Amino acid sequence: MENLPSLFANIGIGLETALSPANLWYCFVGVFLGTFIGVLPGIGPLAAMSMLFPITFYLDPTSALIMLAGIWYGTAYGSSTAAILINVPGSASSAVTSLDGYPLARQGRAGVALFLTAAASFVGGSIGIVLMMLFSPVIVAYAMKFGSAEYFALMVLGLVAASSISEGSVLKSLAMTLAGIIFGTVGMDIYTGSERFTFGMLELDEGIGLIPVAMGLFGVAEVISSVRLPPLEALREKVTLRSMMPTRDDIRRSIAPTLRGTGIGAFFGTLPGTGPTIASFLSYAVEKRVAKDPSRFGHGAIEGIVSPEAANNAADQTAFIPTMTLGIPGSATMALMIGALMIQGITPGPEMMTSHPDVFWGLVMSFWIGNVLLLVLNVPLIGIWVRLLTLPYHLLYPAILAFICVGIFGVSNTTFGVWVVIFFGAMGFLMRWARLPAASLLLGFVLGPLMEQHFRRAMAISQGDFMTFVDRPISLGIFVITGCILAYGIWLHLRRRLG
Amino acid sequence: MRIFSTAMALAAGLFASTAMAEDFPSRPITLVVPYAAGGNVDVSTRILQKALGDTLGQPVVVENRPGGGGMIAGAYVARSKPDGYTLLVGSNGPIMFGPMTSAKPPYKWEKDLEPVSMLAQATNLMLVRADFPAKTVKAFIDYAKAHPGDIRVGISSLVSINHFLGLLLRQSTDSKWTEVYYNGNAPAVADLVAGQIDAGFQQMVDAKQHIEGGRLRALAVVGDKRSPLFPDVPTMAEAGFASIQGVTFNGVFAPKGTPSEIINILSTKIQAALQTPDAVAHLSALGSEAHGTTPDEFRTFLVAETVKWEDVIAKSNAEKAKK
Repeated sequence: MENLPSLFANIGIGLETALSPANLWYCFVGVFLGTFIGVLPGIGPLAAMSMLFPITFYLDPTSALIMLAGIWYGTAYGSSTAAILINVPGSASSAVTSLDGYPLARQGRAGVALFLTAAASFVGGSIGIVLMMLFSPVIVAYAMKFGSAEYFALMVLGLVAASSISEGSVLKSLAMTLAGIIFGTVGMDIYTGSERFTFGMLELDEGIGLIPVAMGLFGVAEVISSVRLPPLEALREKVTLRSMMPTRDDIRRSIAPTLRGTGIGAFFGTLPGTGPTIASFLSYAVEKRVAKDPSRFGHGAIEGIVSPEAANNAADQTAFIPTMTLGIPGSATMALMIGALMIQGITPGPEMMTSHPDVFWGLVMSFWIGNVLLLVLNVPLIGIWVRLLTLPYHLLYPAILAFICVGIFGVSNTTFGVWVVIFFGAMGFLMRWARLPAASLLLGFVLGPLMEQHFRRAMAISQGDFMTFVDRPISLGIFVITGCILAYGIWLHLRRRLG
Repeated sequence: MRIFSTAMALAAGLFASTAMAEDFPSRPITLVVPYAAGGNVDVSTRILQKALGDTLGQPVVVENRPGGGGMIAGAYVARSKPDGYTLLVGSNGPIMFGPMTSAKPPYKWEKDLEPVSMLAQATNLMLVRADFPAKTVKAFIDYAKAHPGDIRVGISSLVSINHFLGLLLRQSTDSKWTEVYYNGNAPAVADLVAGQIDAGFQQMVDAKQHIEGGRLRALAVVGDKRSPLFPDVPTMAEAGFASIQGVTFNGVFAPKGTPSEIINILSTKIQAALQTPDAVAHLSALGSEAHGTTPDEFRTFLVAETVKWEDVIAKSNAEKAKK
């Protein structure tokens, strides 16, 4: 804290930059677009940012960055909207929000759910920003201690902890997780170059994209399933501000999960290569573990929506820590952010904070402005979104399918991704019919390739010595936690059996 | 009747092709980028797009077609109409390494593509983690000989220039080390900075700030001259390893069969665009050097590089077969 005076000076520089009329405007444009892109299924932040990337050439570097960043974290706000209202997540990181958000909407509590997720997003985002302002160097030093052994341990922990996210049969969710891992192996092996399940198709060389899988399993499958369902009668009423107001009980239930979700999200955000999707799945799993009555989950538990939404927003903010302070992008979107800076002659990294403090602190302060704008923007919009549900399904669903296809086509300019969506849409529909959990498949798909990659890398680095997972203290610690969770699960199971 | 119509069509076709070169371009030109937006090749292409501006009299459009290690875009352009309106911005991977290493290459640049002009070149560096004992390439190789298999060399991605430079060094010095593979420059640099691995080849752009900050040490520059950014770092030749040469490049290609008049028009305009101060400055911010060439210069460069790397790959395949 000895740096407090310089922190205030930096905040001053940042505010001065972020509050300039041009930057305010680009911040607004970014978060506004982000919200809409988040709501629209299929068009993810990456697609939107790539489309706007050429414009950043003609902007001041700070404005460019502020706008792109606004799209990125704005999406996290918007993506829960469609997940809650129509069971179609706007992006992969909100897939888990639909598990409890959609039942809430079915109970006529869509307004409350949207309000609480907006609030949780704000809290998650804000805490993420504070962490970035105060502790960036410490966090980066810590994140650098995570080598492949630690990543592998963490992925195993994730799989074990999140094995409980789905309802019903353990065997079914295990089978789906495995199926997800298998789909994750598709593509060229990064070690040997051998083709795995590519059937000679060049399009599959770099693997199956996360967005087509998530949109197929959750979005298209939902559309197909709903064709036969009657529309929601409960939602046809007018949404008043009063009906959006959560009860005292809702708020009481939200506080701890929001904070836990923020913590999990902030942690995963700082680790390059992980990110908001893993964070939201894990925070949901944690809530289900710590809940007194886990059976409420999947039927409209408030904890199940606020925690993942706090997590993905916190992760979105803390993802900037390795990107800006080390110049190491954790994801394709962050690489785009670095690209926007490089083209203007600025190299992100520890040196940037001293050489271009206006850019760094201007960006950080714009996060505050952006988050406040998002809150102000989102709460009044809730009424409009909910009213969208009164649209007849024969208008709403074709539009959703069109958005999904356009979004996926837009990234690669080929129809291949659209076929992938159709494939996973059909699969998702059959899975629902067989009561197989799609969330488990998505989780396996996200974690599987990371696990394999880091396991093999850890083994290469240790030259084939398995002890590396035990010798390294952080890795050992994570494995001990994993063991405890497993043991606890078995103990619970036995206790239920015996008595 | 049929003969007559065929003759008409032929004549029309001939007429069209000569007319095509005269008033080329008469509609927008598409530059196909084999990677997603925001990467090095994409940004370089957009710098070229901006520098070309309206000098061609028609707008230039950038289209990203990522996937297949860049070969989806390569195959797309190779199969496009050879009229000069669909061009590929290819780099080492999609032009040479991808087709060289794939069992059934979807195309070969020699047979299916026509070089137009190089766009930019970038410098590669040989790097070690800050606390690695070896301070020179020579010491590094000595260390590798003394501790066979112990040095962990990060490979940014399979079949990339960074991969093959490492391979070339290992083959030509007959050394042994452990290769650790990554799926991109960023995670490989991160692990090198963190000291999880010991060494690796990287482009200047990814390494620059870490060398300046003392988090990485450059042992040598791959190239024929020292970098003005790090005048103390010797070239590979100065370090005693003259055979370790390789250039990161990207350049513009047309489908085979594109009329040479059109290729020349495009090449001249691209070379001029790459000499504008803006293009030079923007590319140098990316760690690259604007480098327009005539189609012939580009072809000569590509032939030499292709011969060299095919040899390295053949040796590596033989090595694998022996195991």
